[in-house]
Amino acid sequence: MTGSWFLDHLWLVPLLPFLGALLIALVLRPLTSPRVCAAAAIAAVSGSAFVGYGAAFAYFTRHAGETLVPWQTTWLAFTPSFAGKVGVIADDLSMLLVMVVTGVSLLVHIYSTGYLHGEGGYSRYFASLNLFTCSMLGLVLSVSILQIYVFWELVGVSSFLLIGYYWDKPSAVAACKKAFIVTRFADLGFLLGVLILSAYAGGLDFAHLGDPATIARLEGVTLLGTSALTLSAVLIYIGAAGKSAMFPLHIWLPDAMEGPTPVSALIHAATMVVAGVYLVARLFPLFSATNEGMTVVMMVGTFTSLFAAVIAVTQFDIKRVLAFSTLSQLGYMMLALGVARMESPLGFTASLFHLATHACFKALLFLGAGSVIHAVHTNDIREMGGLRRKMPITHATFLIACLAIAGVPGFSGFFSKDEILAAALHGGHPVVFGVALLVAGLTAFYMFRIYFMTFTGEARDHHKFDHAHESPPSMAVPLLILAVPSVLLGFVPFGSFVYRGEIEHAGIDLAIAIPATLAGLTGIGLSALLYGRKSETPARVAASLGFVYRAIAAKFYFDEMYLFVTHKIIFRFVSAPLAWFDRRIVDGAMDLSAQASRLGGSWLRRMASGRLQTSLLVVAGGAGLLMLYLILAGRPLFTALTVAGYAAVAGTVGRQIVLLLLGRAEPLKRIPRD
Amino acid sequence: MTLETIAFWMIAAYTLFAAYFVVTARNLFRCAVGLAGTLIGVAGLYLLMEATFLSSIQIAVYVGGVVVLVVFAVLMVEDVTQKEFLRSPLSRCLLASLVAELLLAVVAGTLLSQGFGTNRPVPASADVREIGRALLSTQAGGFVLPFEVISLVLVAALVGAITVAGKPGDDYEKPEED
Amino acid sequence: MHPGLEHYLILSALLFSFGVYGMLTRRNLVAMLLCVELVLNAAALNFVAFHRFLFKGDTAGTVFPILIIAVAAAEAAVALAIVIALFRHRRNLDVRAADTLRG
Repeated sequence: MTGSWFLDHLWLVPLLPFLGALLIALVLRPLTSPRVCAAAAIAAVSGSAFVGYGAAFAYFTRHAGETLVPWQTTWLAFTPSFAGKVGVIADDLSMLLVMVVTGVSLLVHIYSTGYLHGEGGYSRYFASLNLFTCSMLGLVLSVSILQIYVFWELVGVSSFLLIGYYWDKPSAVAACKKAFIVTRFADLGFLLGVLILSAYAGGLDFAHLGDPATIARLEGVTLLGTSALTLSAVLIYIGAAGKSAMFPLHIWLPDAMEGPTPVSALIHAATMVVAGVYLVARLFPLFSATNEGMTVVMMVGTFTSLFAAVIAVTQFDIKRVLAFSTLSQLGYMMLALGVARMESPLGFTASLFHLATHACFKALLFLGAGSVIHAVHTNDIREMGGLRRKMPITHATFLIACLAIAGVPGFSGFFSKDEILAAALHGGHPVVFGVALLVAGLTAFYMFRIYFMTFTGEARDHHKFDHAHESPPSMAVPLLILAVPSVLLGFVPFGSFVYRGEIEHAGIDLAIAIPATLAGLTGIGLSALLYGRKSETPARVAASLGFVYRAIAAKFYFDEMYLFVTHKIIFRFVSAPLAWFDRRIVDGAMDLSAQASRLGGSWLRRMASGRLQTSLLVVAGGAGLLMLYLILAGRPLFTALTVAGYAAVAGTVGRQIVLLLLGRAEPLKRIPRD
Repeated sequence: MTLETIAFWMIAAYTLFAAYFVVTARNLFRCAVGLAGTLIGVAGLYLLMEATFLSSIQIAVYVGGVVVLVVFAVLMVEDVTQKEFLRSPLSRCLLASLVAELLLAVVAGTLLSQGFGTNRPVPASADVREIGRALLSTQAGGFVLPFEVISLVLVAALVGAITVAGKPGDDYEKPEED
Repeated sequence: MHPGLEHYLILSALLFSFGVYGMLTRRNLVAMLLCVELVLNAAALNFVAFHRFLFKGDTAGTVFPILIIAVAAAEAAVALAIVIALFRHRRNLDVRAADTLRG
């Protein structure tokens, strides 16, 4: 009904990887070889990409500007008028993300065949990767906030599986737990926001939530001193901030580098972390109506980008630097959204433009880093050097990506960063503009620091250097493929395709382009000075900054602070009592009933001992008690005796409870057959 | 303080004393002797209550028959002088005494609370002739049915005792073909 | 004081409780049977007491004790036969050891 086979079958896009994951996990992994599993995974994602790109093409050529819902069904009908719907949506935002996700995912799949060649758990990896792709695609194609929440959690689970791929490394296990817990914790805010919306908005579909009437209604309700609109927006933003690793929920992203590098490329550069940005963009009409909410978005984004950039300067692990760089760029994206409004929507386009270009060059950077790591078997840049001679393809593509991220004119990063800066300045936030400019310079600096220390100069570790070699084609080809959009994507008139409100054609504003370029070139130059050749200057600078340097290198001790709070406070005062309660009281109640049955049984068993006198005793005693009861019926003594009887039973039970609480109850043992 | 009173108290004390023996004697023989004593005491009580026929029956049948039977059995069993004195555990004794006291309290309490209120001796009419007539009388208040049933019971007991206690293989022998 | 109905009733109740205690406590089977005899006698004593003090004209008060004696005799015979048979098989008259019917 949309006139395009691809759009009509848009639901295939998340379904194919899901089926792929299921097939691999249940059928292919136990029955066939790992290579077949990998092939199946790649086939599934290729199919998904095929349909996805076809749909995007059909959308942008024939239905640009509309919002289509090719498939939808009611999943949970709370009331006839208020239902949670599930389906696939096709508009500029979702089509863009589908292209990004399927494209990067496919390249990562191909790259992984080379990177993880011969490793254990190969099939499991591909199944998880397919599952992740399905979750992410489901997320970006969601029609209601309920659906997006479900896929949000699925994405979290897939990420958990992938970060914890090396499950025998304790640091990896700790990292995947940390990622899951932090994002889950943030999702509490998300859930609260969803609940508020479900209470006051009258509907959970994005179409409904974007409706001005709904927004006006939400604005009218006052909750906790502010409008329901602002409150729900801020709460939902907490969830988004968790997924996109905004400060102070950023702690999981650097640790998530424990996973294989292709995973980092896919999840922590191009797709999962942008889920937060996607969510805010999806709810843009809602967010745009609340100034306080948008201010929060903007401030958090700005601060995060600066914070992360400063830390990135001091890190020596190549993947850590890239992780902090991602944090910083995500800050840019959030910042851009934060300064945008429905009336001045340039920031919206800028943010998504940067999302797309960042996906390309960051994935390229990660995959290139993976290539390097694969060759020299270390992450530490202090052990690298001079690799450009040994790994020409990696070197060239990495350089292109660095130029892109630094915002050198002509590369994609230049255009997208420029739009963000323009949005900030024209939106009336000069301070934000200044900070963003500073961050641009820092970005160039630390990225080229990596570049110089890895690829140029003399090798610092000759043993590793001798072993280095260029990567196999399965790894090199994706690098080459990604290099293309890293350069050319900038020339696409993005604003014509992805926008809200009116189409704004932002041409090159020289007043912004020149300072930005200068900042970038300064950064590159400084970096070349310090790191282009062997010199003591960086070390001396670090030493002279002393305590400040150490604090930055230690990521401002945030990890330690979090650990302190969780271990000393939460574990001791919240978890421990709850665990005690669960063990002693809840389990104790279960044990109590079991013990009571057992004791009652063994007591009754003694009565059937087969001994004559026991039976006689029971008969005589029972008869006597019965007669006693009958005689005393109605008299005060009767009541006294009844009460005494109940007290005896209660006493026995109570004694058992006390014993269980004190932990001295005898454990249930098998009653011996005698 | 009539003679009757003194007699009653003395016989009662003697009966209870003998009963105590029955319950606590370790030696089985002493137990049997204690039982004999109790039964004699009860016979004495019957006499006090002017049931003369009954008291003679008691002595003739109960003491002279049952107790002798018991003594025979005791001697046959050869368990008379037990070297190890088996006792029930203390918990069992306490529990049993509790139950016994409970029953005592219930029975005595019920009986006494009724207030039967007669304390005057009535002229006796426990005629032997009356008893005989009652045993064979078919009218209402007659005991011919219990009488006949009792004889059946006795026969059955006889046959049963012989069957149970007979030595294995001690069956009826076929008379030889002559 | 003059023995009245109550005295005899209490006496019979005492005998009864003695008998019950013995039944529940003695470990020798024959001793247990002797205690049963005690109980039966207590019942008979009750009959005679009531006959003497309340129901003089009713011969039941004398006939029943006779029947009780007869039954007691029959029961003693059979029980002792069983005791003898048991003893032959087990050589042991411990009541507590006879628990083959345990459930």
